[in-house]
Amino acid sequence: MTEVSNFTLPHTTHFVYIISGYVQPYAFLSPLSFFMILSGTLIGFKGTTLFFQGRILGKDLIKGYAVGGSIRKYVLKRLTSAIISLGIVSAIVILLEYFHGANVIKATTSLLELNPGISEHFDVSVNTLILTSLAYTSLLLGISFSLTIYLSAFLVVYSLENKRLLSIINKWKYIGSALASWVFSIIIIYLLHFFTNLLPYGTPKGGNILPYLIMPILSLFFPYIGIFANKVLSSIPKPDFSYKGLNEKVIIYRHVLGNITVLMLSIMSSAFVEMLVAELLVEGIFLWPGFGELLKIGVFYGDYKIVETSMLTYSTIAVLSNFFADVTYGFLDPRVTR
Amino acid sequence: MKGIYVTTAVLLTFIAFSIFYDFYQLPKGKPLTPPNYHYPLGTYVNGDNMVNVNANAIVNTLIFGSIVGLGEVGIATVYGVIAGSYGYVVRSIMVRIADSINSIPRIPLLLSIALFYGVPTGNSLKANFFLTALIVLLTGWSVYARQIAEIVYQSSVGIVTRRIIKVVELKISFIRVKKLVINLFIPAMIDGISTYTAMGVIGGVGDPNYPTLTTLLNTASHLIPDWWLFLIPAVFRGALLVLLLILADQLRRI
Repeated sequence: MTEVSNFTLPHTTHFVYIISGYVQPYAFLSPLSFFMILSGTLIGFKGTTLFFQGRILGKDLIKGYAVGGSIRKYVLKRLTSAIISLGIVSAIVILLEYFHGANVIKATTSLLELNPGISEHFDVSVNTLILTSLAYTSLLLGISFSLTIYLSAFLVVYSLENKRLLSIINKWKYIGSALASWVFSIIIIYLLHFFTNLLPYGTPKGGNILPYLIMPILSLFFPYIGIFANKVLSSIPKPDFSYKGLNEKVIIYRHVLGNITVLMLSIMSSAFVEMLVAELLVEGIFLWPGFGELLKIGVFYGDYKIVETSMLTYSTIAVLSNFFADVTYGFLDPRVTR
Repeated sequence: MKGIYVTTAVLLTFIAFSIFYDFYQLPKGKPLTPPNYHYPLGTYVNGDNMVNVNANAIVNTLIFGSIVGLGEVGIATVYGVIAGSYGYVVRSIMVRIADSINSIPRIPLLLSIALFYGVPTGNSLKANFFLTALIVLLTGWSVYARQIAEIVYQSSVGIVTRRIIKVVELKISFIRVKKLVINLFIPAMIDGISTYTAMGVIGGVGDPNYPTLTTLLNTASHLIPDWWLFLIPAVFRGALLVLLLILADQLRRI
């Protein structure tokens, strides 16, 4: 908006003002940020566990000798399933467009051109709306997802030795399910906004968005940290510390923790998608101007173009994020390529 | 085993109270009265006693969950048994189809479908309760079908051998599938309730004729200062889901 200047109008009545272009010049970068969030968190998690292993066992004992398969075949396999999944969702979008009265060829062309058209409610290009809202969503998801994963890594490591902490994590899944993120959101609004007036609530106004970020982050973080740690721990077989006559620490930190990182591949990718769904709910409650809020407005006003494009965008993020995560992990831990 | 009886007894008591207060109407009052001696849970936006409103919502939530649970497990059982018992190419294709359905983003898809029969109001989407249950169950069965197909396939031994020991194999499959189907019903019910909740919170989807706990919570989200409209249904929803989750865990361990 820096190039807005005065313009002399040729007539004095009946004008239509058309402003084109983005208010946010870097909005196109937001889809990329999703892949960076997931890949960055995966690498960060691996780094955190390696840090623990190195600190407790020493450098010699954390060396891996895993043998992998062909990385090329592994990447091709993952890419094929990603393309098939995207193809199915695209076919569904075309079908829905057809039921809304659109021509199939026109709908297919629009999809291939990545041009979903104009929103009925906002009277603005749907692409502009999606990209602008994704910037807000990626900011919120980036902070809450990475925070959850890193801190749950600490929880997992400490609960391997601490039975009381392990028991708390086991029960957390019930709390997390009963107090879903959106229920937790409203409780937090009562506590931190209505009762104490500590934090602002609503769509951020002005440039300072940080105070508006705290409550949504807390709502996503608290239920998920326990659920995530519990998912990892429940998949670990109970170790018998007498195996091979090894020291308890070596079994826990080398063998158990080493194998957890392989297991994390599927758990972390699915947690990312789960958290994205939870974020859609939380955004609507906090009026955070992200993807969830846009989807909500789309449904409230029957703007099917927004809803369908959201479905396609959400699916693309989920599928490509999983693909990025799989490939990153293929390099980090060659055992998964076998 | 004792744990299951305790959880079942608590759940049945919870359901019995809800059904009772769904039929037995307590006196109405002034709209939006906070909880007090005469109205222990306060009154709703139309003056209805919140005891009756919550009881009705719990019953509707359970009806929705049961329809989805039965539908999802029913479709999954038929699909999974066919895929698993035929094996080979048939299984391969059927499992891939189930996986493909599973890869579709469910909530945006459900909202897109709901727009066909729902009426947007500007702050919600009025959508028929039973049609919504139908689309939820039609999009959620594939996860369970995959599990049943695997169980049946593991019990299968190939076409030639199957002809010889058909009876034995069918018996083993039947026992294992029966146990799995029982174990899957409650998770499928919870899945139905959670999905409807997500549709309600994101898109305001609800049926005014069949208000569920989610409908109450959605209404409350527009009236946040009236805390009893939100906190009480949230506690009931939490209690219901925790009881169902514990029961599902206990059944799985048998």
